Amino acid sequence: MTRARAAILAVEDAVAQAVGEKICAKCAIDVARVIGLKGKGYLKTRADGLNRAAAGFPVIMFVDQDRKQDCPPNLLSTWFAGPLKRSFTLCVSVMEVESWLLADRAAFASFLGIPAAKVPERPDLIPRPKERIVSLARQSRHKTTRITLVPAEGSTAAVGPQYNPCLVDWVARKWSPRRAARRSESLARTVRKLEV
Amino acid sequence: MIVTRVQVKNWRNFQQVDVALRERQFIVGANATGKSNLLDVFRFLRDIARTEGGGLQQAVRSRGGISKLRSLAARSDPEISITVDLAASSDEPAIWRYSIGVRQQARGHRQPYLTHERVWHNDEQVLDRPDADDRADAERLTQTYLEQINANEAFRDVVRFLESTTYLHLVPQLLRHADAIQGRVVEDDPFGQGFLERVARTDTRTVKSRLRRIELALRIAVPQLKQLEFTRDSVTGRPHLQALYSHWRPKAGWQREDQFSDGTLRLIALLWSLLEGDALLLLEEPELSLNAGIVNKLAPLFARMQRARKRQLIISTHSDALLSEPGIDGREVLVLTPAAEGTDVRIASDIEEVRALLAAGLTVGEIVVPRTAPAKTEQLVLIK
Repeated sequence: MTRARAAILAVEDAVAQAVGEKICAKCAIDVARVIGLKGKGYLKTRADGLNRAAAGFPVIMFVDQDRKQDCPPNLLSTWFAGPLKRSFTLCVSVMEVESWLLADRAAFASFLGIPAAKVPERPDLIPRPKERIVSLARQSRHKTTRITLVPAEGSTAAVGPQYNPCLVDWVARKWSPRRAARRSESLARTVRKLEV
Repeated sequence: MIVTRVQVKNWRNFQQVDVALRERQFIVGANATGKSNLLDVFRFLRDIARTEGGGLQQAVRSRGGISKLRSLAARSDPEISITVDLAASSDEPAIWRYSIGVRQQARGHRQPYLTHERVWHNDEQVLDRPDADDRADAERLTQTYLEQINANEAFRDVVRFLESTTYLHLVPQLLRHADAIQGRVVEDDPFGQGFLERVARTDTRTVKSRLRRIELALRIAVPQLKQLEFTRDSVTGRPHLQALYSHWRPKAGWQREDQFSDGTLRLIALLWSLLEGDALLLLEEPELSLNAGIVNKLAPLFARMQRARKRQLIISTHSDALLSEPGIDGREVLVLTPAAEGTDVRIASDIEEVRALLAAGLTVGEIVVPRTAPAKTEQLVLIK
């Protein structure tokens, strides 16, 4: 019998937490504790500490790449003082964790209430997946989806008032990392890394 | 003296707890994990030990009876038990140990009765009930020796210590609108309604020196506050606090406590309590109505106030800001986690992954608080 693996999850926000927890569940990793939820800047300040903590307990960090120049090799050299510990796993979503949701194409389309053909085939290639989700939600058949995910006219918010909780709820109930990994290379890489 | 270890069995939502406590102890946990129930262990002992209106029967009755007190997980073992160790400091061996077990009579009045009451002094047992007298007269077991002055001479220090425990959950609105509400003041005034009366009963010189120290501490939080004074209304004779603020209108004058902000009032009452007495002080969520910038100064403030008075503090909190101080020791934090059979209580630094993160320089607040948020909080906003 294999011993259950456990890890500390370090994430930017609630959506990344839900995604991370789902992936860990699929890979039979027990999430011992969640750290972060205060945005990317916070993770950056704590990245090196978390790498050191991995000496005592495995750590999995989920980060959005966000910009071209923040590709994994660049992240490694700017966020960390030394090489990554073996028990530290860095998972970078291209460009944002939202692309991994879009990658579960048919299921996400039915969640948004739009035709599947409107969801991009290769979400890793989209520069701003979060913005794309909001613009897709704007075309939704369902009024509630439009109200919850899309910011009101004139709002300074980038997303609707219940964007995070709605996505978190959907990820926990419906999102399938295996289906999504077929359309997202960055997710496939992450799942491969965590499965071993 | 401080409580250095507490063990409970079947108490409210805890099936089994055994943890060491330090001079300053924080309790963190999500809503409804039992932070207040854990504090209630000490209030329960206080209610038994209290000379006026105290005693086992009253302490149980005021909590709605044994059935409300006993853990739902206690199916085969219906006994509630509590054991506390008292020592001069957290690194010294216990001087006293007090232990009681309580059950409900199976028939008749269904009164609570003692299954045991034991006291040790420096490892020597000085009380062991039920004894021969108790066996001859079972009625005796409906009262503890803790509540009987003529029976607890051998461990009077324990009685004095337990009965002086103070519990505070300040509600500024109750204090500010005391006249309008005209509410009944709960015994021992945990909500701070009678705070001004308490100040009024203190001798003038002590009031002055305490207010002076509070004023200094307050300047960090409320920089525009210049002076804090205690007065009596010249007409009604009611006690009041008044403060002078530096103001764009220098003649703006004094403001009374009904004009203070919630945060200011809370801080004043909190600081006053820290300066008053040297027994165990239980604080419920001291961070309420304070902004995060002030909250993260509370922990060192507590430590400083404790230097002057060796008063033990047990503090329940939801705030990661309160625990973001790098000076907080992992041993000073109890983490409450809901489990299948009631809530688990563990010392933060005894949890493997927490230790790894602390060693890497993260603060207790960063590590412990995100996880104490229940996994399903997001669903709260989805309620239709």
